[in-house]
Amino acid sequence: MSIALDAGVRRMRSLYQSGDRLLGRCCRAEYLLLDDVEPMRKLIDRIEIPHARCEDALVLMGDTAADLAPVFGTPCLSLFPNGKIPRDNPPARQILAALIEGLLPEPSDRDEVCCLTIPGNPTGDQGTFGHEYKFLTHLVSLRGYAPLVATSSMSLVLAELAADSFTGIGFELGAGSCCASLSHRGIEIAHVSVPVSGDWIDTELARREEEYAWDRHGKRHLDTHSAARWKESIAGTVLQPSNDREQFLAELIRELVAYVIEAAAAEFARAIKTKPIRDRVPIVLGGGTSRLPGFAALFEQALSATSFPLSTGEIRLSGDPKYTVARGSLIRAELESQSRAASRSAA
Amino acid sequence: MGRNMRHGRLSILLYLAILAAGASLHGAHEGVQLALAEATRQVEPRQMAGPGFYFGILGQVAKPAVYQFRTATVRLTDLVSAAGGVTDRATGNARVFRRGLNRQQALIMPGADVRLMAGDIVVFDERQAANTGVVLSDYSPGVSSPAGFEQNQNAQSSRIQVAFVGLIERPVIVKMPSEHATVPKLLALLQQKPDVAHAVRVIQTGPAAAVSPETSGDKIQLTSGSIVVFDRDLIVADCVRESLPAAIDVAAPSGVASAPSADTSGTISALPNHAGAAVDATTVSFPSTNAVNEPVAESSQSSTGLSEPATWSADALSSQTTGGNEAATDSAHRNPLAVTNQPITNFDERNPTGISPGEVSIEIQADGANNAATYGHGAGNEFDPFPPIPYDFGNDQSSESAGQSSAEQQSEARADAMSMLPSRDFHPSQRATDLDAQSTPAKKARGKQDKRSWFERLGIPMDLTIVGILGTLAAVVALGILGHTTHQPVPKPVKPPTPTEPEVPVPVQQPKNEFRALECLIKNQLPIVEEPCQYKPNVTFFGRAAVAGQTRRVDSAHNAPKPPAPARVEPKREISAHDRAAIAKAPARGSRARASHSSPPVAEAGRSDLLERVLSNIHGPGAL
Repeated sequence: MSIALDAGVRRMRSLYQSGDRLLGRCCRAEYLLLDDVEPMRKLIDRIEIPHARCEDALVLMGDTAADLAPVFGTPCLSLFPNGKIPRDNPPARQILAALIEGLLPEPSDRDEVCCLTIPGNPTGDQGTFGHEYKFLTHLVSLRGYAPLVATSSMSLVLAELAADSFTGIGFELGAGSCCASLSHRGIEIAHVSVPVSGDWIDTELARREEEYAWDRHGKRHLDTHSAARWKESIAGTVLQPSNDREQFLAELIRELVAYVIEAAAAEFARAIKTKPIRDRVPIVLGGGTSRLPGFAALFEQALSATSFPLSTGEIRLSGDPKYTVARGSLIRAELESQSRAASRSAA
Repeated sequence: MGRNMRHGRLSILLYLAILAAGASLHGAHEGVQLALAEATRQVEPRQMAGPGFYFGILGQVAKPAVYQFRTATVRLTDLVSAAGGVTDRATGNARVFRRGLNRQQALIMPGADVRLMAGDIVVFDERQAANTGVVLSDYSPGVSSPAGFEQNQNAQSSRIQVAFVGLIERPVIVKMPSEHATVPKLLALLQQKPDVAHAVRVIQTGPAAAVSPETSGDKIQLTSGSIVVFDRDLIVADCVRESLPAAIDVAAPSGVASAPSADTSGTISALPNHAGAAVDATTVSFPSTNAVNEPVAESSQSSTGLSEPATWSADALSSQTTGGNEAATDSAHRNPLAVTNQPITNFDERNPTGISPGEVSIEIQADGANNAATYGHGAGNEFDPFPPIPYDFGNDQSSESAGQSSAEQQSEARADAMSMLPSRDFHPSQRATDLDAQSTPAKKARGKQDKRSWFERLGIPMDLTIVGILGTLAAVVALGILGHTTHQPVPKPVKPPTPTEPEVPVPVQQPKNEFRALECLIKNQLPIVEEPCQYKPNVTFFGRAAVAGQTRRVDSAHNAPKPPAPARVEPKREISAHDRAAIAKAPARGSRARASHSSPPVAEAGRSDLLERVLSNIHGPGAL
């Protein structure tokens, strides 16, 4: 049995096959700290809230934290602030390990492959030797799986471009980062990642509208959750904004898309010098930001306004907004498992 | 000579031997070609059947169906055992229909058994009713029947068993209402074009064969035990392949077969009619154009009296009203070994057919040959020393037992039949003579057929006789020539290896499943079901949480009184000039002029301040 772990900045998901279906687990990558005082302990014990403890606080993890944050008047904390695993926050790192342990079931065999994506999709040395890479692969290894790291955009290609022989471009615009991969017959020949995406849009929206929230201790912070909720509930499209705020949102998205496309164009232009691709390549868009109404058309406009080095074909959105990346990672894990099994049998 | 034998030709040196055998040269030539054809055909079922080998059995057995064995050749007893044994209505005659072979006749001798080949269909004939002398399989709706079977005439739903050959790659045995058992209706049911009826041939077995052994099936009323031969070139069976009854898999050739499921009942159960309505499990509906689409009532006793497939076990209650034989048949449906409890047919593992050795005559008949009229069981049959109805009691028998109950009649008839059974020194010719002395015209006609060769009286086909003589002479001549020309010792014949294990390769399932799973995963054919995460409860983490400036936590260590949070809400400001400038400049990013720059937008001062501001927050000033 192989498994996929899509560790996103906002949500983490796992996916594995059981019989004729896929079982998915999902949780928010957030936690909530409550005062470790007697009334609070009695309260959460009486209403049976699953919680943990650290030295000086009660800890709510995952979806429980996100659901109960408005109740307790305390903002949730991200496990990946700025797309990074905090080095100076031991409880956050342990909470992350506990959540991943809850996402990954016990492996049934030794050396089962777990294909995971890393928040921010770091490239280069950061992708291979970065702190996030080492920490997450170590957690997966401790769980009993053989870790295999993939990028979100490449998993998107594997999940959505099977009919195109896994040749095309995948743009994954998540919460913490945007990344793009150029794939030729299932081989990732170029990859680019920029550390801005949906969270940046939410922050800018909240900052522009000066949406702040105060916790029960009087501290003020940007209410990005409120901005995210407004962003996901707009009635119009980003192509035809109906008010100033939607106009501002459209410009933010246009800015982000242009930035990502230009970064991808520069990287892909270098890659196709060594491996020319003459056919028209399809483009698949994934991630939460791409689910905004009119995003695909806006992306097409931005792409046509850019001197993209490849002849592009159809632009389409991924089918499942939640588990597409995880499914692509699971495909990669299954391929790796069969390859390893064949190698073992040949030996 | 050997080469000539392989080519099916005879050497002139054997002419004297052929004359000594009392045969003509033409007959000997045909015999050799027949033997070669049979030897050649023995390898064909293996190629056609694939991983399993199919054998059909119908008629007077407990579970008539098509059975799938692992070996290409099985014994008749194995097949009968898999079918649950014969019923008490069986005559003891088993007819084997083999594709592509000319009909032959054989006799089961004590200690011997008949080897069947893949694709064979065995039909166990039904014994004539003792009280009427009327062959039940002759009964069909609309035809006047004796008064003793009025209930069958009233029950229009009586069903018959029919075998299909050439429809798909294996035989098919189905059960269908007799009133609809005509070739045109059958073709409509199978969703075939009506114009292929001329290419459909019907081989009617049993006593009905005396009337029409084999003919074009255009206007023939099918009877139970009939075999319908389709032309594979004209039949498109893909549309009905899934609806046809499946074969019953028999794991071990000599073991007891697994009980058939409801789908293997041999009943046409899932074929849609032309109106699009599904057919229920026990009824066959036909196109409404024939106005016969109404459901057919259940009947526990078919018009032919043949035992019904296992799905009729639900009719056990109704069958109790029809007499002891039907009850025995139905109990056999529920449990194949239930036949062993019947007083008439004692089940024996060594003899599953329940028929004494020497009692059963086997007739191997070619389904495709058009010589059945010559070799059939009707009048003028020259090669039929053992008629298919050994227990023909006639009408006088029925008149004597008219006042008896059905069970008593059966028992008495059985006793009479047993008295006619041959002893261990029974000679087939004696039995044939006894049977020929019966009063039916067919038997009288057979009585005129005593002008047969000695081999034929023994039940040995003339063809085999010629082949045997020729083979013996050829071996003697060959050995003599070798002995005179060379002094080398004659090598001992190598004993052929006995087939012990089935030669069917065992498919490797695991890789296939893995590839199948991966294919479904890639094609996104697997549904995703969410399940909750399973966290460990009451976990204690070490260390203190750092909030990293996102918010400030006041815990017990820092519980100094804080000023209360401001209750005011800051006034909403208008869009700042900074943001307005950013919005005003942003559309220029998508222009062609903008695209001509290859440098990232963040490097352009004054045009990407939003991104620069965020990226500088993340990576520090000047990170990008």
